[in-house]
Amino acid sequence: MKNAITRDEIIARVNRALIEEFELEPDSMSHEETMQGLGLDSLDYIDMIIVLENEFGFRLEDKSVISDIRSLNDVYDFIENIASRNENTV
Amino acid sequence: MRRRVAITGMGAVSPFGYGLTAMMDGLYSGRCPLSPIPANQKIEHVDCHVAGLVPPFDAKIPREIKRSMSPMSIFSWLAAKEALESASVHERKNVGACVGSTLGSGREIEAIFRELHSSGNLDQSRSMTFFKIMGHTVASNIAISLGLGGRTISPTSACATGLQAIGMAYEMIAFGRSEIMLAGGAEEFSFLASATFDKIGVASRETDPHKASQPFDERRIGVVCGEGAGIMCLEEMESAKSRGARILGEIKGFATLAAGNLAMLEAEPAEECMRMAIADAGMKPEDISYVNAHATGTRMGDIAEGKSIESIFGTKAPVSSLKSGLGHTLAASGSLELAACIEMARRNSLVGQPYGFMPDRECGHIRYAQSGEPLGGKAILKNSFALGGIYSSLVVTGSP
Repeated sequence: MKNAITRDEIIARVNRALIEEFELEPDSMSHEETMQGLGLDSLDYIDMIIVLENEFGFRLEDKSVISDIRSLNDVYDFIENIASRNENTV
Repeated sequence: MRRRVAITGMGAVSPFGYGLTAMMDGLYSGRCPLSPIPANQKIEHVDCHVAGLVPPFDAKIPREIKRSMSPMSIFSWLAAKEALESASVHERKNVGACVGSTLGSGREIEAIFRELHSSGNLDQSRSMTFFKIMGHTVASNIAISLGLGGRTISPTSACATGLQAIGMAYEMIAFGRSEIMLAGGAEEFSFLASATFDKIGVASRETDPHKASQPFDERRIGVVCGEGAGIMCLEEMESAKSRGARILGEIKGFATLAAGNLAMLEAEPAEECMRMAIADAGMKPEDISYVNAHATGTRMGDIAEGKSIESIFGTKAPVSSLKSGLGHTLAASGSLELAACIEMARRNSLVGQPYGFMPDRECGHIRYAQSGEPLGGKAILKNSFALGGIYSSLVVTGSP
């Protein structure tokens, strides 16, 4: 079993993955920033799931759960929650 | 009542690069923009080695616009912006788009099937894949990214797409359905086009880019596929004049028809189509001072077109094909080459057959244009024909 992933590590990996996928400016990645503020819409959410699944090695069967995500902090919480349930995959 | 239709703007992305000026400078220089097909885009047993690829350039397109665009939509976006800017059209709510391509993005189609084949699923397929593959991807991308609000239609007819799109847009304006339209065609190089031409035995297998595309030349050996986008801004004449727009040219007549052979260009329907377009313009053959041929460099196709031109014009109108310079940009060819015709009229200087041209007598007794030859101040006839038995011809006048 891997060691538990830290929140800082989650933040770093989420940010790196989203910056690369969506050509975001690193300076724009403040934790409170909304997805809308980053210029991401509902279609981008579909791609965000794929990127996060690949980065953290999970597979989300029910994609609708991400509709509650509003900010980067929500993304970090979402990954932290998944990690706490299944440490083998992150 | 038919209204007059002006050309008020033009934009081009071609194997010579970004912009109409780059294309015209390249065509007049006689420089060859064709290049070897990159190894990663070659397919085993497909014997094509040369293509007319758009050279890389940094388009600086915002991600939210670019995300749904394959290369041909990017080419079209740039060409459409150039056309709108040259037309000085700023209010876009009533501007429509009539722009097509041979297929949706061939590269995306290839990618999605490769994924499906290798993994058995489409889990890694991105949300934008469909928007690049759909048949109206270019028209939709242009309309949304440029804020167009007029009718947006995507005609497709392979190599006749660009000219048919301009013809359709012309008719929409002429018969009062639209006031201003962006019209043309776009293409991105993909394995499918070159493999198709190779499969049916009409692709050029030459490895030397300088010898690969030689329309009407006795040494010609087939088609060289290319890519790009040509977009024109068409506008109702009185409206264009009243806002002080620069009138680059006028579309005078258009015709398109189908004939029975899927893959073989035939002289009789080509002649009929040209005669219909000339009649639609209210003209006679002697009113045409230059014929810009479709001629792609296939053995039989060039003979059929040459003979059909001979039947109408004899040796009176000079003829040339721009595909020795551009390659065959397929869906973009009609609109890119028509834009070049309008520029030739403006400069009163034709782009002729290339240096060292050796005319094939089998292509009929026609007169080939000399580079730099003046236009003669009358009308231009442009042909675009396509696999699938499609013929189209358009008559324009330019403004010196």
